[in-house]
Amino acid sequence: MKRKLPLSTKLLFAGSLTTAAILLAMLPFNVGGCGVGGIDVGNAVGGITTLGKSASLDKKEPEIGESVALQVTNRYPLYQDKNLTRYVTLVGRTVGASSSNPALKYYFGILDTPQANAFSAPHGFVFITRGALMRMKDESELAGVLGHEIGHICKQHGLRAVQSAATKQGLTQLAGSVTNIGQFANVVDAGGDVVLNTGFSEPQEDEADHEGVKFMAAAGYDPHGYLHFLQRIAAEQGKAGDKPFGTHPGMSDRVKRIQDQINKMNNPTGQTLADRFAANVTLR
Amino acid sequence: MNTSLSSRSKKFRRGVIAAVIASAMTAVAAEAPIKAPKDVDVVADKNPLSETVETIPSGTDFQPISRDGSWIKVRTPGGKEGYVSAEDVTPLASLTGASGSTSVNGLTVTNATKGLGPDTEKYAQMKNFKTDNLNQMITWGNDVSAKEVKDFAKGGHVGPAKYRNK
Repeated sequence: MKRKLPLSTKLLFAGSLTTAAILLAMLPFNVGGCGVGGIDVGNAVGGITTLGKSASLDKKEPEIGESVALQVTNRYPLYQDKNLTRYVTLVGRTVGASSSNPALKYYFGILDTPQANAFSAPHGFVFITRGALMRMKDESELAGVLGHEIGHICKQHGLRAVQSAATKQGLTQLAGSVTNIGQFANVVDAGGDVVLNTGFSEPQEDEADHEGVKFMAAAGYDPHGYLHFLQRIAAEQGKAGDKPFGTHPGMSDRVKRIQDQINKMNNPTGQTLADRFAANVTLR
Repeated sequence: MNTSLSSRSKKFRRGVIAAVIASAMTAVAAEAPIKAPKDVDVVADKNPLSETVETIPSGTDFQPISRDGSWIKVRTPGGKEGYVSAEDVTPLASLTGASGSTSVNGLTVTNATKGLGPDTEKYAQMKNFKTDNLNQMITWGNDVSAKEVKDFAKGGHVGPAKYRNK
């Protein structure tokens, strides 16, 4: 049975799987995704990878991305609101155009769940939950979360998860083995497990935070928006009596690192676009 | 003798003409015009927010030059070169490199509307996964044109600083 992990996990902290399981039971809403990445579960992705980044694997990246995205869309239904999805796509592509891979076409889906979370799959697939959108105040917050996911994609964290799985299975040339769909499925399953369940490593989460803040600022959004969103989520969890989580060192360190990054940007300003966000996101 | 030479000469000329026609057809097939189904921005870089080189009016045919991921390098009717998003123009299947059988994001345009990559399809069948949600996500994403992204960014005064409000 698939585990549901706390939002905190994806966005906010690092720790042990055991800790995460305890927190899950305590949190007011579930979260997972790359925040789960904070949880160190033997680090399917984190340590990466004895397998060199092979050209063959890169060549397979689109289908790896699709297959991981399939796992996400078979776990959660898509929220059937084309206009809202269009708005998320427009914000996401604006951030993507300011990323380190602006030529990639990014696709965005809203997952119909009250859980607050976001996910990404290789080669441009980004998912955000209805629950996460409901907790946002303006467009800069959305740009920050999407920027974080785009950061994972640009740094190929998902692809590395697949690489790591391939290495563990002794596959050094994925493309050569992909005629065996069973092997392809095994490594893609492992990649999806990282995205949906175990999460990326703490260093990868930090890297995605760093990239996300950089991308959203480059796009002209106020990077404080991302920080505000993370702080709000943390506060919400704290109100629910989640003391262990609230004091988790990984979480506070991560927020602090984002604050430090913003401070080094000499108190940047940018657009928050609360009115445009409110006009497009009417979920409550 | 003369008759024989004349006959061979005619055959040779026919052969040359046939070869020229065949060659020309290949070139046409490889560089068949693409059409703008709605107003399409040709942009300077492979970035939807880069500077607009020319806006192609709906219904205009123009020439592809090459393809790179989900971007097509084109020559406009006015002779300028730039890029269009592959999903923003038709037909896509006639373009060099488009096989109609590869994966969604950037390799062929036909993927966007006709299905996922072959390994993805096999994977979905093996896992008994439904593909309709992902296909819908891709279709909805393809409905958002590069020009719309540019207009949206311009409206919010956002986007990369070097392109902002251009």
